[in-house]
Amino acid sequence: MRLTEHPILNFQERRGKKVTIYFEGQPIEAYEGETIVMALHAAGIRVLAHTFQKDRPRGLFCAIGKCASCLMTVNGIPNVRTCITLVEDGMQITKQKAKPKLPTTAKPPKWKDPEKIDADIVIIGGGPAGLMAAIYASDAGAKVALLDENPMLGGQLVKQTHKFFGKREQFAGVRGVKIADILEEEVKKRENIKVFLETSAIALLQEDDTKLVVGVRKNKELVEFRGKAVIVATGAMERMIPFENNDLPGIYGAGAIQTLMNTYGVKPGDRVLIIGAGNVGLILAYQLIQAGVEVKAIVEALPKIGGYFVHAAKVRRLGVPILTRHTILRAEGKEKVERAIVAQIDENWKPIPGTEKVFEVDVIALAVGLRPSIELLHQVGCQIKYAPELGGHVVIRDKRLETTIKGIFVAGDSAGIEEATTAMLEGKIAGIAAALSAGIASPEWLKEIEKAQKELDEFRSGPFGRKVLKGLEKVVVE
Amino acid sequence: MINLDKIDPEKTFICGCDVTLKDILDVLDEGITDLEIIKRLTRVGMGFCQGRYCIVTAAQVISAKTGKDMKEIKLPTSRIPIKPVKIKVIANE
Amino acid sequence: MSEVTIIGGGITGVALAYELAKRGYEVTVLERRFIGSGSTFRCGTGIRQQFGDEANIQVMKRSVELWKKYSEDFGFPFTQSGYLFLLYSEEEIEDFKNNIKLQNKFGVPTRLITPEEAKEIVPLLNIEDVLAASWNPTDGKADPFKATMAFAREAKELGAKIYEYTEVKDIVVENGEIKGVKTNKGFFSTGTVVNATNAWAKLINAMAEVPITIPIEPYKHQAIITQPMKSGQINPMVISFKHRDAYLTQTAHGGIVGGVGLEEHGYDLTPTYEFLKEVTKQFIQIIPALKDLRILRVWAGFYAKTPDSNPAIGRINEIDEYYIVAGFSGHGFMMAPVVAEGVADLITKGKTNLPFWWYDPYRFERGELRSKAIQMG
Ligand SMILES: Cc1cc2nc3c(=O)[nH]c(=O)nc-3n(C[C@H](O)[C@H](O)[C@H](O)COP(=O)(O)OP(=O)(O)OC[C@H]3O[C@@H](n4cnc5c(N)ncnc54)[C@H](O)[C@@H]3O)c2cc1C
Ligand SMILES: Cc1cc2nc3c(=O)[nH]c(=O)nc-3n(C[C@H](O)[C@H](O)[C@H](O)COP(=O)(O)OP(=O)(O)OC[C@H]3O[C@@H](n4cnc5c(N)ncnc54)[C@H](O)[C@@H]3O)c2cc1C
Ligand code: FES
Repeated sequence: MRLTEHPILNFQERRGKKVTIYFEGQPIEAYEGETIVMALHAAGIRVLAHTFQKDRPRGLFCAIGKCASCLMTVNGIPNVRTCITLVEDGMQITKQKAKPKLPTTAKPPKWKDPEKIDADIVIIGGGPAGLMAAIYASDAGAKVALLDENPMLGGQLVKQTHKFFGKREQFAGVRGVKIADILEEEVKKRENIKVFLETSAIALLQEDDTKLVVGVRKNKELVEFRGKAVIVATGAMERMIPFENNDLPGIYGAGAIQTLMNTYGVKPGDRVLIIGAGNVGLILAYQLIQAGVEVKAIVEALPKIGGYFVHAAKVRRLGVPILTRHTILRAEGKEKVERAIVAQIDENWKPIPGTEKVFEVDVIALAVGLRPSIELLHQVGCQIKYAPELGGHVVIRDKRLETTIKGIFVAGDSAGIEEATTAMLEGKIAGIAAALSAGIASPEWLKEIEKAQKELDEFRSGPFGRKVLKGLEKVVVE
Repeated sequence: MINLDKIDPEKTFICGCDVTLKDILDVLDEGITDLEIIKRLTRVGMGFCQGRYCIVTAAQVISAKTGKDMKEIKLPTSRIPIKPVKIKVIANE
Repeated sequence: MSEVTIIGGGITGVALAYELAKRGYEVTVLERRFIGSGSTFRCGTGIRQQFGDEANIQVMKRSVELWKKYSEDFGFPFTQSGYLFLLYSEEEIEDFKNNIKLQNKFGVPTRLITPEEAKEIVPLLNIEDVLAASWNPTDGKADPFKATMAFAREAKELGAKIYEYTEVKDIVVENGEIKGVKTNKGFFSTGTVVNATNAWAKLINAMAEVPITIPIEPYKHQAIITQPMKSGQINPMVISFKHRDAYLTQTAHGGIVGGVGLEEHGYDLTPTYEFLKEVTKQFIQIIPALKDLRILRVWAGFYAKTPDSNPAIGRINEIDEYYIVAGFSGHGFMMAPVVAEGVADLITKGKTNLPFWWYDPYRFERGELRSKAIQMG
């Protein structure tokens, strides 16, 4: 079902041209600019595949191309991540039922060398961190190539309909979606930034003094990006938790639900149970209510709410119960979620018998935390350390966000889970620092780095910064 | 922290590629507690998501069951290509 | 105090521990990381008897018998799905005809087949330039993870001790007699040491001050695995020397595992883009349909190579009870069961009926290199 009325977003205006796609041969209405899975969901199709071994139904989970839960056959091509692939008129989409059988008559393909892009700085990820890095690296004089595997820039920002906190310089009081627009405009203004969308980085490699980022554009073309420095700003991925039937369609990451309703105007479901009362879970609750979806409850395993007080108060005012010291035991349903069973837990996280509650819901939203997306950094050999305060495994880096490999920088959520505000500041620092390390920026830019570092320090001096600082102590080196 | 009590391990999935909590617990019961080996015996982390979602959950199960601190459990290295890539694409057909 | 201490917990080390424990010996295995972490868990799974010399053919024939027995006894996957060598020139055919004659002499049923017959065995093959193929249906493959862990489990059940994350730092030898080994986890006293560290063997030999030259050098070799496809599409191991010594097969899980020969000397194990491109280029010539599969992972391991690609197996006479069992190049996984059996006999009885003289560690010193063992990848 599509949202027609929304207090903040006007989807009628935003939707592209109407096209028709086919699911198992049946025509489905879709709009240009939306991904396949969004169009399917709008048409009520939630089961996208069945697993090969156990025949379990599969549905959307992360909506950012990372979990592989949405693989389908598109125009005869198997294993397409339908959450980051845009619809095209006449597209044929089918469920994958078995491992593929290959044709015996195939001909060897002709070998062609890939397209080559040369830049001073290659930035992977076009969220707030990557965008700010691009803007500042470019202003410092660098030629920038920016790639993102999603079809639009903005990263997580494009789903944030609420107004941001923080300082005015970092867009406090502005809605996340709007910040994404502003940053995108700034990037477009700069001629020495080249943007590559729908382009996944599949490898980060060192060739003597240059860094090579191997990208795949639109699932089909290989592109080689070379630069003197690389900034990894690949964001985060959602955590999973173990409970019975935790693989049923209708169990979505919080981010995926935001993508559905806030980016594409698709109603995620009718009745939702949210797991996790951090900021993400709380914000999600009122965004859902805004979109006309009923939120049955928020379940939180800790004895107290993790998110900001204002967010919690707002959610409570809207009548959503927050059950602390509770966890989910089980999802039930045949092909998709029909209900959820939760229970109270004791200090040792053990469920207390007799405390089970049943919620009749068709969506379970997991907002149990994010973890940094460090795959590229890990793969290239940057040193990794476990810092739970920053969301898990992160890379060791210095104050200018240079990792243990010279010329490779990190910024934003991929450096440690924080906020868009800090991601932007880190992006700025990494962008300038990379331009300096590439020998392009003049030393005056050091002042801008110091300014941003001071702003970061101020931002982290609040009560919520304490945890982050503790994490940073473990991983920031001189 | 995670809860592993009062749930049916055969119906609880650690990995989207059909690896259940039971699969992991069975290997742990044999006295094998190394994530690197559990990965290879159960195939957790060896499928299409390349371990992005499942490997940490598996590590948490090991931590919960053995008392090993999470910081002691080394994540298996990510390998190129970090997204599954079609052979035809490498060939640029 | 352990009677025998094996350094290295790859398949060679744990299989030997099993064989020794079965013979009633007190055995300890010391492994620097986790079991299999060296080359074993990185191998291409292949097991073949198609060699070009009498010794390796006989030895591998026995190994296949053991693979069959242990896979049944211990319950791990081993299948005799064959090895198919694709031949593209008259010269290659001549060579293989000679090999086949030798293999047949020892009861290995290899035969030369036509390209069309090869395509019947693997319908996905591109046989355009193929002139013939060498086919032995009794060769096969095994799951390296389950097989190695099964040997480790059985060894432990018989009383063997396996210490992981235990790195040998030095070997204490007094008056030519072994006293024990020093590790990061303390001292282990022992009278007999077996060097089963394969790619690292020269470092261990140096610790014991082995007085002869045993040239074993590490070479990086890489492999890929693809997404799974429907089982049964590429049953045998397919080999093409024409395509940069390529080998590939389908695993029990359905993915394609394989590699090409693009080696690099030294201890680095970083997978390379160059390999990713090269393996792709070669594989799609051999089986064009693979172009539609996705590569999930590239990894690297070591071939521990000697000048003649044959291992060094035997007792070092100058040190009281020091054995070298290393240098397996690209075929140490397949040899492990027979090597374990033979070396256990060497240790416990001082001899083996298998033609292990071929692997004599003194041959390098004497300048008596063997004919090069067939190797791929
Ligand atoms: C519900 C919710 C509410 C929030 N509210 C606030 C708030 O009020 N205030 C605030 O400051 N913050 C808020 N945040 C946090 C904020 O959105 C994030 O911290 C911020 O977006 C992180 O920015 P980033 O640039 O590091 O990563 P992201 O925004 O996640 O961007 C990463 C980008 O990298 C791309 N990418 C990843 N891997 C690859 C690859 N291999 N190849 C190519 N591209 C790749 C992705 O497609 C993505 O576009 C909220 C987050 C959530 C989930
Ligand atoms: C890509 C590739 C494909 C291959 N394909 C095949 C194939 O198809 N068929 C086949 O038969 N073979 C194949 N091989 C070869 C095969 O993997 C090896 O020959 C075999 O695994 C050797 O086993 P091993 O136990 O002797 O050595 P390893 O498995 O390397 O074990 C040696 C162990 O010694 C340990 N060690 C080293 N130093 C110390 C120390 N100081 N203290 C304690 N422990 C130490 C190491 O950590 C290691 O675990 C392949 C190899 C590669 C790299
Ligand atoms: S990859 Fe598409 S839903 Fe996660």
